[in-house]
Amino acid sequence: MSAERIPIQAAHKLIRAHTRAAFAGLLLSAFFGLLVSLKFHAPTFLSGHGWDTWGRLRYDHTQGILYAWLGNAFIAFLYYAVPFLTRRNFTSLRLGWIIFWVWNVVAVLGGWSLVLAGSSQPLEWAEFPLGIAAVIELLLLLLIVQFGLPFWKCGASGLYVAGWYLLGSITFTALAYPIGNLLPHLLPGAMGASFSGLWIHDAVGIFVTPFVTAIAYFVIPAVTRKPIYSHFYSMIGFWLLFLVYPLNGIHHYIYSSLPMAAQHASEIASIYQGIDVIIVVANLLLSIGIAVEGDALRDIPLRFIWTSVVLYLVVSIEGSIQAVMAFNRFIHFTDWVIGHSHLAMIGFASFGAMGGLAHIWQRLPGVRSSRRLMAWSYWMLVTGLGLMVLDLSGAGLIQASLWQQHTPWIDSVRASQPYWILRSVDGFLLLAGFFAFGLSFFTGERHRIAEAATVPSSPVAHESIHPQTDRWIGTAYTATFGAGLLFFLISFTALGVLPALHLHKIIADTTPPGVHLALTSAQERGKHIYARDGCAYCHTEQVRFTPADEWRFGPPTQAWETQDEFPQMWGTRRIGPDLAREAGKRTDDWQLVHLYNPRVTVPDSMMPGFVWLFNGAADRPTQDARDLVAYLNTLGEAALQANPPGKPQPAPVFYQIPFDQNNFNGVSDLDTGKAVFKANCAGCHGADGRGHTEGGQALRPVPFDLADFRLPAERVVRALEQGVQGTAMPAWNDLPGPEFRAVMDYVLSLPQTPPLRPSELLAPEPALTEAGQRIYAAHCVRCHGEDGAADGPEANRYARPPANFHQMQVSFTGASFVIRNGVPGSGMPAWPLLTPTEVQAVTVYIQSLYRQSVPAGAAAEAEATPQKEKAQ
Amino acid sequence: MIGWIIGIVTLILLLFLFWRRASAAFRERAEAPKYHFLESLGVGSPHAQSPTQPQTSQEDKDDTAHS
Repeated sequence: MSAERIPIQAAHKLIRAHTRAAFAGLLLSAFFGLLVSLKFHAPTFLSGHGWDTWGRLRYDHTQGILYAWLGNAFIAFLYYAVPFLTRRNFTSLRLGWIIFWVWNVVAVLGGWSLVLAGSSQPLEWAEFPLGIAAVIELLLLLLIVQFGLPFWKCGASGLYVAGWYLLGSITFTALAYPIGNLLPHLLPGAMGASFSGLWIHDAVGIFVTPFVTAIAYFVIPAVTRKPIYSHFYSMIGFWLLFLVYPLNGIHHYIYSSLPMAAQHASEIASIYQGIDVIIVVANLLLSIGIAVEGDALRDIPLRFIWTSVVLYLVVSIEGSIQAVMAFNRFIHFTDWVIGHSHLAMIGFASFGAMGGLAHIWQRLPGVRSSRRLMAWSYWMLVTGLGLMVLDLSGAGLIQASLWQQHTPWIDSVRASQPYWILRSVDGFLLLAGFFAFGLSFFTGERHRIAEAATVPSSPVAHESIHPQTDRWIGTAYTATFGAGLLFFLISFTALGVLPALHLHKIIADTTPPGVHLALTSAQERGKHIYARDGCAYCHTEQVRFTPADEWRFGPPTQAWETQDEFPQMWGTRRIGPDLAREAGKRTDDWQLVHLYNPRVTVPDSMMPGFVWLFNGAADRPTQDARDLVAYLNTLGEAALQANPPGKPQPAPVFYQIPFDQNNFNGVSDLDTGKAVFKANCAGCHGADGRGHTEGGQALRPVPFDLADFRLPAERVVRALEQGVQGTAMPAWNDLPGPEFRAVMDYVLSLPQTPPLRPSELLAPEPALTEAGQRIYAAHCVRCHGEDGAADGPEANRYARPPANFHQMQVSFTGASFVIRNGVPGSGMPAWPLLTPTEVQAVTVYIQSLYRQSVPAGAAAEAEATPQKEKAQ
Repeated sequence: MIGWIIGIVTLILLLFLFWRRASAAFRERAEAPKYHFLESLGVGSPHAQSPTQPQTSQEDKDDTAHS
């Protein structure tokens, strides 16, 4: 008898090696994930170096889960399952060890290290650098040699469904992998995005899903000792998976500039895929249900499998709904999608892989395992995952709701904080669960299995009584598998090549003449830094064709805008705002200060600081930091060239209500204003409005000391509504009306520096005024204009317009400081040779120019001239 | 084009479904791999049904009960 059976002990060492590597990979990858999660609410935690920044750890988290954990787990399962499924051994033991070492040392450890060192790709599920991607593709081809050959030899009609899934997975993954890794380097922007979308979905749908489904179809009958419910329907599910899944990819780019036909196609395919999953899950659950007949799932590995199967249904239906455009418009880019991906990769994939590993481990001779610890790990993981998915789904709904409203972006970050803290707690629980699960393999009683399992060696252990039917079925299955390969190529054509050709024509037809798209070498270097540090994983670079996006960010991103972007960095997640229209929004010094420490300019920001791009201070950037800012300033620049912004309209009547010091709307308005000011303005202006903050002092020009410079209400409105040209002061027109008014009132209510007492005047006031006018005419009029309206002949030389003294009442303290020191970052020089009397004289004269109220049109006119125009 | 792909996929699977409905031999042979697999696992005992013998799966029992 033993001569007729294949001993599979040859693979035991490989199974053990891959299992241990899988656990190490799982724990490290989950640990990376936990660090990433902690940084959401503790952004300064581990933030001093490039290697420990959020983006790079995020890359290693997802790639580790895919290759270090699931990859090793799946290969371990292949070594155990293939002999049972094919009645043949795998190709070569030596090849097995080569695959093991190259997979773990070169692909996983090499990939992780290179990403941390700053070599990576900003492509979802393809973050390892191209060199590592080439190694992984080679390994996928070696897996076909190692395991595909036994499948091909064993005949199609008798192959059990788990074998079909494994064969399909290793074949199709090797085909799909280069699409997401290589093609975006060859095809730019929108064209590359269509191929990226294919791989984003194929990584889950063609690599992970078939393996986990194969594990379920293997373990269920092995544990229950009964056949599955229907092999025929299991094959229907298999064919549908491979025929339809590749068509889903573009649903990651709904409402983008990709051709709408391709978007609709992915939407329909996603719904169809949901139907397939219902068939598969019904068959699997019926298989378990029949066998256990309502009894509790006492077998722990089977319990993991059962959970995986149930969550497969949940996550697939959720995925189908997310692809529907009406829902996608609301939920895309939010934490809802992150909850969905964790449900898929932990609830479905990892639970399935854990069930499979535990099942085969318990059948290896001489190993330990602790049923009790494994049962504990199950409940820890179920609890952790359940809380995490509920938490992230809730956060996603909150974010989606806020993004639809006219509120500042940072409000969604603030609202998400409690959810992110809970996510870290869930993450701890999950990491503990993973650790307990891994530990259960190395503690407890040693197995008493004396011999390794054996498999019948005869490919066909019996004579068929229906040889003709067997031939037909074999032919049909083989033909369908061939059709699957053909359909894969067709999907590649339909969702990749055709949209790319279509986009090529659209781009050629729509690119405005004369726009400059090519990046300088400095901007290219900045783009590389943006890519390697994972900026695209928090900031999208695509304004979608939705009203909410257009209101918040500006005109939707057209395909022609990214025609030179290799690879595309459209992104699939928004934690920070979209940056596709960043050009001209901020000054370079704001960007630098924000990069050095985001919280000095945006107090509630969770963005990590990029301190290693600076020489110890925000105003000492390295060339890398300058290059990164140079790249940020290119985002949307071409669109600005093609469609220069029009002049803004005068402020709405609501905002034009003159401020009345004695007629506030009540104390609560000022309280609200103070709270809004503290949350949004204090980073630069300081809580007291004096501007003495780290962030404020690093800006050029430094923010107004609001005690020294009184502004009329209209000017404050205009500054809040449009920002202040040539300074880091951004527009705050996304504040809700009541908050806008409240912060305006609060700014106007801030205590002012008192005027000089008569005893402090160095000469009688009329004399000072007269002298001041002469000094002003000699030194100031060229920029500030004859009567102080900022309309002097040289006023247009500077990006920051000169002060308009009709709209700004300067205190003596403020004026004397500015006159003696100048205003770095503007055209205002220092005037150190003026005597104290002269300084006082010119200040008194300037103060006399102030007008309490400014016509709305004049204020709008003053602020509306585009910065570039002024700069010229 | 996508409509064509999905239509052809559906047609192929419907053909399988009709074939299975029309042919008892197909129905039986389409289920055979799951029994062969059990045998590979060592479940097939002297008392168990041989995979080469006509067998009644739970799915067939359900079909009979509902017809």
